Amino acid sequence: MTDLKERILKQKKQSMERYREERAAFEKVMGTPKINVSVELPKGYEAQREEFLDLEKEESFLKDADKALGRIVKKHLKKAKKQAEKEKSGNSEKEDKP
Amino acid sequence: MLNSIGIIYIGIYLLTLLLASAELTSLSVAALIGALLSTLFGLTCGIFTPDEVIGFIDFRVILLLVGVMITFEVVERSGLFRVLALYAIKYSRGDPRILFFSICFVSAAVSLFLSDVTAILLIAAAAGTIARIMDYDPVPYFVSAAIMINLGGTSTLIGSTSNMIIGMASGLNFVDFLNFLALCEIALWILTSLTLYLLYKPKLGEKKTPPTYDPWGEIKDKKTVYKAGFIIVLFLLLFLLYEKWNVGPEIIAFLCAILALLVVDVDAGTVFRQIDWETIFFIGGFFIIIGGLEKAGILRFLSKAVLNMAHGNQFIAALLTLWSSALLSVFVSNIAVALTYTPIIGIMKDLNLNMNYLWSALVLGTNLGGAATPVSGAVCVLAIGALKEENVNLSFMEFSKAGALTTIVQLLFASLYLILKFGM
Repeated sequence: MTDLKERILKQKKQSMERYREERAAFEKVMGTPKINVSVELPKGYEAQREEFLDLEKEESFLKDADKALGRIVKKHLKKAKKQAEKEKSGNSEKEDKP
Repeated sequence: MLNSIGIIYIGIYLLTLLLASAELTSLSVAALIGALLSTLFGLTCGIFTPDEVIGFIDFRVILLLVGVMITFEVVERSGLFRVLALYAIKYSRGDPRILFFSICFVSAAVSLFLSDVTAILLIAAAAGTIARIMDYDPVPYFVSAAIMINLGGTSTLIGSTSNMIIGMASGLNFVDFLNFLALCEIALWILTSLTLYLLYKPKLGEKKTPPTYDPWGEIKDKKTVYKAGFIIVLFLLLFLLYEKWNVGPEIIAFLCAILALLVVDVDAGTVFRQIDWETIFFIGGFFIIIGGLEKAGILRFLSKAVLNMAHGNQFIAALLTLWSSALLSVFVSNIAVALTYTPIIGIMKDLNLNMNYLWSALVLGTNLGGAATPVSGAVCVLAIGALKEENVNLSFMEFSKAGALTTIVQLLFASLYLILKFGM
C-alpha cells in the first residue's frame, strides 16, 4: 500500500507545485513575508563555478548572507520610511500655503 | 443469462477498473484502452456501427463539465476564494475549535463551486499556513478539509462530476437537486464536522494570539474580485432559471465560461491548460465501455438483478443503490460508478417506481463513498501529499480511521433521510 501511495503522490507532483504556490500566497498575508534575491557568480571567479553553486547549501554562508542581507534590508526600509515622511511633510507644507 | 459477448464486455470493463484503481496507468489512459478494446470487438463482431460508437458519448456531460471548469478556474484565479479562507481564519480569533469548524464549513462551501482538487490545494495551503504559525498539528485540519470537500456539493448539479453525469442522464435539473438533497447536505455538513470534531478534539491545540492581517486590504486587484463575485451570482441565477428558457445546463455553463473569460482579465490559454483533461478523456472513454455493456445486454441484466434482489420494492432498491454505489466508490473512481449505475437505473424508468428516490440514492452513494480511505479519491491523496509538504507522514490507517467513520455515519444518515423524504 505504501508503494501505491508513493506512486500516486509522484503523479500528483504538478498539484503539489500549485500547493506550494498557494502556500506562499497565504504565508505572504498571514506569516512573515519573504522576498527572493538571486546572486550571480562574480566576474573573475569563473573557475570556481562548482564551489559557488555549493554555497547555496552551505550553512555558514547562509548565516552570513542572512546577516548581511538583513542589514541591507533594514537600511533600505529606513530610507524608504524617511523618504515617505519627507514627501508627506512636503505635501502638507504645500497645502498650508495660500 | 450471460452469453460469451457479455462475458468479454464484463472482462473489458473490469480490466479498465483494475488498470485505473491500481494506478497501473492514468485514469484517462485506462479508459481509452477499454474504449479501444470495446470498439474493436464491437465493430468486428457487428455488435454496433462506427456511428453508434460516437453516439455512446454524451457530449452534453462533457460540455457541462468543461463549462463549469473554465468558469470556476477563472473565478479562482481572481483570489475570491483565497479571501474567503483568510476571513474564516481571521474570525476564528485564535480559537482552535472555531478554526476547526471554520475550515470544515469553508471547505464544503468552496467545493460547491471548485473542483475537489483545486479546493483541497487552496484550503490545505490556508490550513497549513495557520497551523505552522500557531504551532498546531495540521493533521485534523487537512483530513477534515478533505472529507468536507468530498461532501460539499452533494446537493447541486454542478457540485461534482458524478452529479453532472447523473443529472444529465436523469433529467434532474439544478432546482430538483436542491429540492431533493439540499436539506440532507446541510445536515451532513453539521453531522460530519461534529463527528470529526469529537475524533480530533484532543489534537486541536490551545487558544493562541492569532496573526493580525486585513484580508480585504491584501487584495491588489479588487475590481477582479468584484467581477468574479458577479460571475458566481450570474451563474447561480442562470442555473436556477434555465429550464424556463428551454435550454440545457451545458449551454448555460458554456455561456458563463465565455462571459467569465470576457469579463475577468485572465489569459484564456492559461485557463485552458488548467482544465482537467484527464477526467474529460476518462469520461469519454468510459462512455464507450458502458455503451458496449449496454449493447451486450449486461446493463439490462444487472438492472433486473437489482430489482430481483429488492423484490421489486423501491425502498430496498434505493438503499441497495445507496450502499452498493458508496462501497464501489471507496475502491474505484466515483465517476466510473456514476457512469455504470445511470443506465442501470435508467432502465427501471419503465417500471412503476419513484425514480427521484433512486436517483437521489445514487447521488448520495457516489458522493459519500469518495473519502473513506486515502485512495478513494484525488482529494484524499492530495491532502496526504500536502501534509508531506508540511513534514507530516500520515499513515493509510490513520486517514482511514476518520474517513471510514465519517462515511459510515454519513451513509446511515443518508439512509434515514431517504426513508423519511421518499419512503413515507
